[in-house]
Amino acid sequence: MNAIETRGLCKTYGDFRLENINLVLPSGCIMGLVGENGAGKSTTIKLIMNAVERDSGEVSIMGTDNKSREFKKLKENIGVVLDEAYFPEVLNAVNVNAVMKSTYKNWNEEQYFNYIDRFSLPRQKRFKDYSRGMKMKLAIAAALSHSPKLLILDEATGGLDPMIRDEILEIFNEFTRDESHSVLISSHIVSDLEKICDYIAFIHNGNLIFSDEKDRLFQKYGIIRMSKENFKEVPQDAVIGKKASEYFVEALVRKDLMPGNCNFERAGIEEIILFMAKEDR
Amino acid sequence: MKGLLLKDYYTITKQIRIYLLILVIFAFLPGFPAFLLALVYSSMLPITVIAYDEYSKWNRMAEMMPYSETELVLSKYVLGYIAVVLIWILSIVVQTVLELIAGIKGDSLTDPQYITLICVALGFEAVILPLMFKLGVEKGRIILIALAGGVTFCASFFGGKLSSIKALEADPAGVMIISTAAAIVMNVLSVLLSVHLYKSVKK
Repeated sequence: MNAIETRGLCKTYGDFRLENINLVLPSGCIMGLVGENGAGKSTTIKLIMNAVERDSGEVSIMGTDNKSREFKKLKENIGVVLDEAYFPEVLNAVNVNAVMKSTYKNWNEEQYFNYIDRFSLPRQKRFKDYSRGMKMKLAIAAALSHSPKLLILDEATGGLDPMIRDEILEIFNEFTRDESHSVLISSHIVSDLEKICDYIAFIHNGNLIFSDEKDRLFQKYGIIRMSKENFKEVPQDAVIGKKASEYFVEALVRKDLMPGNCNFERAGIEEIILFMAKEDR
Repeated sequence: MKGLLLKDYYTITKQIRIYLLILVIFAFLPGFPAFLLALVYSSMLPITVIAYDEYSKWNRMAEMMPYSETELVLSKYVLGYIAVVLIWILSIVVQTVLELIAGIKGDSLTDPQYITLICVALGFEAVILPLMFKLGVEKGRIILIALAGGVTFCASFFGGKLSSIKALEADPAGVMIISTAAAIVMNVLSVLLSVHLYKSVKK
């Protein structure tokens, strides 16, 4: 069973249109959602959680339509961390425990306080006096403490320093050691996603450019660097994107459409999406 | 919904303390209609919570939790009901204590006139909450002030002549029954309207 499946998902907000988003996140996997600011990542996550009304398309979470009555019950199994932790400022970690205990049937108080201690979060300090890193850790602790099977993280590590980010990514890795657990994570920090994800989906200007296994992307694409003269010999349908200087061309190409004797450099996820996002093909 | 109410309680703990303090102080002032003041304050508590929610953007997070839109809206009404009923009970307790200790005897707060006042407070809540869900607290408060000014103006001009006031004096029990029914109908319609408005604003 797939953890998340969207088909033909569309949403229009004024001038912005999110179009035909088809995503499949198999259970037990981590999918990274990448894209520039305003590409439609957060809108996609809101649509997945039915927090905004879709114009068309379908969303199924762990086999349940997110518009069905059962979805509310299913939310017990979904931990969500948004780009900010939106707890009221006057609450402290103990208050958050009490609220969540009355919200989630599966709330695990012991696990929550283990995370609070592990993250060195002061229990009585008010939320407004927490640093951004502490606030996000509190949100992550809350998201992980009701035995979720699916974690949805919207820019949850954005704005955090590398040490905290690393610590949090390790927790997500720990989470997916259980094969029934899945993660959908959106982030600007592609290096983080490359580190932990099995699948990468790239949204650009409201369109899904690709959604594929990370390793398959590495197999499929390569980077070539050559003179402008030599580049003229390259089959143009193999070129996904290029950067040209006065004498040299650097291009992302589809390896299967290139001649057999060609040498490629490895294309990382960041290179792949940067070349794809460039207009001057 | 218990989690939502608990969150609201933690959010306004400070306000509740001040509120209780004011209530106790006014309860000792002879002739001052502490009950009326407390009722008005109680029915305004949901607005205070909505303002805090707007500031912290709590609803963005709550929408990801196992709560329906109806529960998110209804919890604000329930908070208002709890506040109004609690203040009624508390006022009766304060009055009883004053009577026992100082021999000060006021009206019985279980009289029909007082039940009617509670219904008016609940009716007030039914009117203001859809405004808050549609316009947000900042704009909603402006409309609320304009409404309150309009009602006060009308009351000062026509108050004595209104048949309902005369009826309240003549048949308090009858007015209580009618106002109870009106408060129930108004609140049912108000909740339905607020859920619709909340969904339309959210989407």
